[in-house]
Formats: sequence, structure tokens, C-alpha cells
Amino acid sequence: MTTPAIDKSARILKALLADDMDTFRPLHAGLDSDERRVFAALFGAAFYKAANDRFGKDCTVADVIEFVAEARAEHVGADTVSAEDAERVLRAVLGEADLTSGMSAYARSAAETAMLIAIVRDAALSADEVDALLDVAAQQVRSFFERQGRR
Amino acid sequence: MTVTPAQFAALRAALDGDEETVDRLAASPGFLGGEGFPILVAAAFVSAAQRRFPTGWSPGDVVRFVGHLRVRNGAAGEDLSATATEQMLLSALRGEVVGGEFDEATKGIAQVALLMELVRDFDEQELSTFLAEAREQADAWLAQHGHSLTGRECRA
Repeated sequence: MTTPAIDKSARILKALLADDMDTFRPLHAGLDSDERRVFAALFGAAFYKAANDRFGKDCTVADVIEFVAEARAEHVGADTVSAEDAERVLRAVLGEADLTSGMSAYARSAAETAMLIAIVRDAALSADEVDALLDVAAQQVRSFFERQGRR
Repeated sequence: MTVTPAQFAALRAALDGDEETVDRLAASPGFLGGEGFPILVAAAFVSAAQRRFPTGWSPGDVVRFVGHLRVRNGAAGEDLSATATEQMLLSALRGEVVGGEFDEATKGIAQVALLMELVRDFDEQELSTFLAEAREQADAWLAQHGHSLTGRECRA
């Protein structure tokens, strides 16, 4: 997979996390199928890192419930995502992978997007810190596709 | 029709966490024969909700409250439907009927869990006064709607 596709995905995801929807929407809508696959991979890697950085390995279900309540109340809106969906995607990425098995792809994507945005806003990450998060995610995606390419 | 002493005592026991007494009273003759108990619980719930969130509340306040409730109740709170619980509280505050997407058992569990959380900081005197007022409201409601009202029609 090409580095330009990863860089393009990083720009799009950065726009989303900066709430720059005028930039995000047309770029995201213009992705072709291969680029969408790269974007999904980058998003997944960023979500995994952000969630694990936020909660750590000792987090409890109560920690997730409290975060989701505050996230919906303060950062993304109560109607954007249900508590159940938001808690499921966070607990899944923190290790309870089976929790999202019954969710539709749309519901899962919407909940993950809302929670990634909430984590970034709750931590008040600077532009540089978001760049650092996306750099790590991009490196993981690059390595993943390189491994895939060698098979 | 009015709230019976057993129904009133059962709500008090429920709020004290005395499940044994609730079960014993609920098994007494006539306990479930009328609308007294659900109307009493609904009156107490709506009153407690409006007391806790008098004016100027936001949906975010409700979301936070339900989140705290679920955390405070541990494993039982994790099993409580967050969406149903939020909808029950929002409906009480807005004076709306809860939508039909939840079954009666889910709504009942959410309502009692909310009521217990809403009154948890009441002292003995406050709780007694509060429940007496709820009983008066329930009796007035039953006197007006007694024979035609069903639990499903009861707000929140």
C-alpha cells in the first residue's frame, strides 16, 4: 500500500479530529475503495492507541461508563451515540473484542468515531499531539500493509 | 381506589433496599389487583425527578446522572439499560410518555433504579415527607382516573 494513501488518510482523519468538516467531508467522500481500506486501517490504529493511552491496562467497566457519560454529555452529544454502543466499542478495543460482534458495521463505525473524537477532546490534545498520535497509527498501518505485501 | 398500606410499605421497603419485605408485601392479597403500586411509584419517580432537576437541566445532565447511577450500582448498574434509563428520566422531566421500544420490565427496573438514586441523599424525615406527598398525588390520580387508567397509560 502506498505511503501517499496513508498520508492522505492521516490528513482526512486529522481534519475530522479538528472538527474541520469542510475539509473532512469532500476528502472522505472522494476516497476510492483502496483508499477507504487504508483510511479504515488508520482509523482503527488511531482508535486503538488513543483508547489504550486514555484508559491503560487497569481500566474497569466503571471507568468506561463514566467516560462515556461525560463524553456524551460534554463532547459529542447525547443523541450522537448510545451509551451501550459507545461502551461496547471502547471495551472491545481495550480487550473484550466479542462485545462488538453483534453490532452493524455502521453502528460500530459511528460509535468508534464519536469515541475517538471524545478522547481527543477530553484530553484536549494539541495539534502536535494529534499529529503524534496519527504518526504512530500511520507507522502501524504501513507495517501492516508491508507484511501483507510480503505474503 | 387508593394506595393500600401494603403498597405504600412496599415502596418504602424498596427504597430501603429491603427486598425481603418487598417480596412479602407483594405476595399479599390484592397487592397487584389494582393500579395503586405502579401509580405510587410513578408519582414518586416523577416528583423526585423534578425535584432533582428543577429547571435549566440539559440532556447532558441526565446522561451524567444515569452514568453515575450505573457506576454506583456496580454489576447491577452495568446490566441496567442505559438508553431505557435515560429515556425514563427524560420523559419524566419533559412530561412525556416513554416510547414503546422498551418492554414493561425494562422500564420498571429503570424507574425503580432511578427513584432509588434520586432519593438516596434524603434523610429519614425528608423521605417520609416525600413519600407521603407522593401517596397523596397517587391517591388523587387514582380518584380521578381510577377505573380507566392502565399502567401503560401512566406517564413515565
